Amino acid sequence: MATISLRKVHAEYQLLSVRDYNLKNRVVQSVRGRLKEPVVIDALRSIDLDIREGSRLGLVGPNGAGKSTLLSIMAGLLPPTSGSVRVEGRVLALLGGSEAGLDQEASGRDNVVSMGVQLGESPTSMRARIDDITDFSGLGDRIQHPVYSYSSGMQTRLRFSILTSLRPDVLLLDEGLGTADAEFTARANRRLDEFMTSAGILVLASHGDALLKEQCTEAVWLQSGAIVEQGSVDGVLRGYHHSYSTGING
Amino acid sequence: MAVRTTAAVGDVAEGLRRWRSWFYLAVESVKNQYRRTVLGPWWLTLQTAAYVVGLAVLFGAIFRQPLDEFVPYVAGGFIGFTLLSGLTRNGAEVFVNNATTLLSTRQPLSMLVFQMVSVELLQFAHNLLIIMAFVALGLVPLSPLLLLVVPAVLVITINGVAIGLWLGPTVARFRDVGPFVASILQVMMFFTPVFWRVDEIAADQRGALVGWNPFGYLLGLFRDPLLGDLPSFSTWVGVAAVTGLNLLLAAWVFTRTRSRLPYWVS
Repeated sequence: MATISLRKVHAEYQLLSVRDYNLKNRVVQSVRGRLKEPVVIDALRSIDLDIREGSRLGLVGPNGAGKSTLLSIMAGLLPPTSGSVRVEGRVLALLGGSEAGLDQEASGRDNVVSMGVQLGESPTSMRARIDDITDFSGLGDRIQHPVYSYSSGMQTRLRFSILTSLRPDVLLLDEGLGTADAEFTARANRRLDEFMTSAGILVLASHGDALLKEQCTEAVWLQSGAIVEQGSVDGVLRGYHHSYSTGING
Repeated sequence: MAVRTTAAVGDVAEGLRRWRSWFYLAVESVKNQYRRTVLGPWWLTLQTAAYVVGLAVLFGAIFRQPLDEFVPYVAGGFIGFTLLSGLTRNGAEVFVNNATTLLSTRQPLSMLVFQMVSVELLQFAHNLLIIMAFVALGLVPLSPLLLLVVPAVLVITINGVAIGLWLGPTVARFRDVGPFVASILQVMMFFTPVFWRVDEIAADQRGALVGWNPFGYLLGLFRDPLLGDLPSFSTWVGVAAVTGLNLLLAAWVFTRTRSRLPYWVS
């Protein structure tokens, strides 16, 4: 049973310049009674979104539209500045560069255990999964090698294999599988299909139309932190492409 | 307000509950630091031993101290100070250094602090071998007072957690604080009685030179039992004050900053 429900979710980043970061300036300014408020970027403005179990939702929109911030909020990594987030089910997210969450000095094997432990699994249960994860990732003997010797595609493969082996109810992917090769992508897609049959939720942010059409059944178009359109993948993509070819919302 | 407090307490409670996780990750992280070396973490022990013996001989000659007393004094002081400064330096950077983990893997924020403190304690444990060697050599008296080292390390650990919880968010928000802490720590090594004794300073100057130094009290608590002394009354009072202040700051800062912290390091 997996659901995601966002109500009036607002996320703002403060653009902390060197002056704002500086404690001395803050103290001097507040003593003088003219504390300058830092520049604020509204990454998400009043987002209302309900995602039911079995949904495969694509997020589209230009760079800086708030797609990654929205994924981070669903993942519980960023608390919203205001509004409420309710997520039921186990959420796992493949976010932040290919190497995020991996220890570069440790072997792939050790990373399997460490990453699982960070996510709340026990070392024993992770050790029991190493062979399956190795098989699925297609890393073979390279699993013994330190991760710094992996290409970014191999690191993505390892992370995806670890995360999906933990049987999440909600899977969040930023830019799909990035630099993973075609053979792995095909296998990953099969695993995603299996995952979807058990009524999970997939949310995928991407600039690739083909990927979105292949993986998602519905889409949300984000622009400057707000939802512009929500509906079928084809419909939303049409509206999105139309907007910048005609210069509206561009 | 109540919501923030509940969330912060919940974070620390969940962090503590997952002790197996962060202890495992701390052990792995120490292993990884030395993965490409033969001696591994024992390099630290060697490094500390070389430092202690070298400096004790040098400063012992300068201050005309008998070596059999001065070597264990410097060893206890240096090993204790290394732990204190390591906890402070890494506590300051704990959230900035772990930004990618914090932004890609959901876990209680306090877990990162517990993990950092465990790494420092593991390295400290390797250095304790030097103290054990001194006990075997008879340089450190084997007395029941040695048992006081256990609560001393516990008190230092509590302070380390508290420092991570208040200094960590402060550094994430005000990036000048990190380099400031690093530069102060270097000077603190000389202002803390590690290579010299407090009683060598004229009584009327002690307050100004030593009294304000929080490291001095925590260090005394750890080192005095190693030298066969009971920590003085002023040490206990100082330790209580420093620990109380750290805990208050931790509660105040962590409660107020927890929900903004991921934005500051992103």
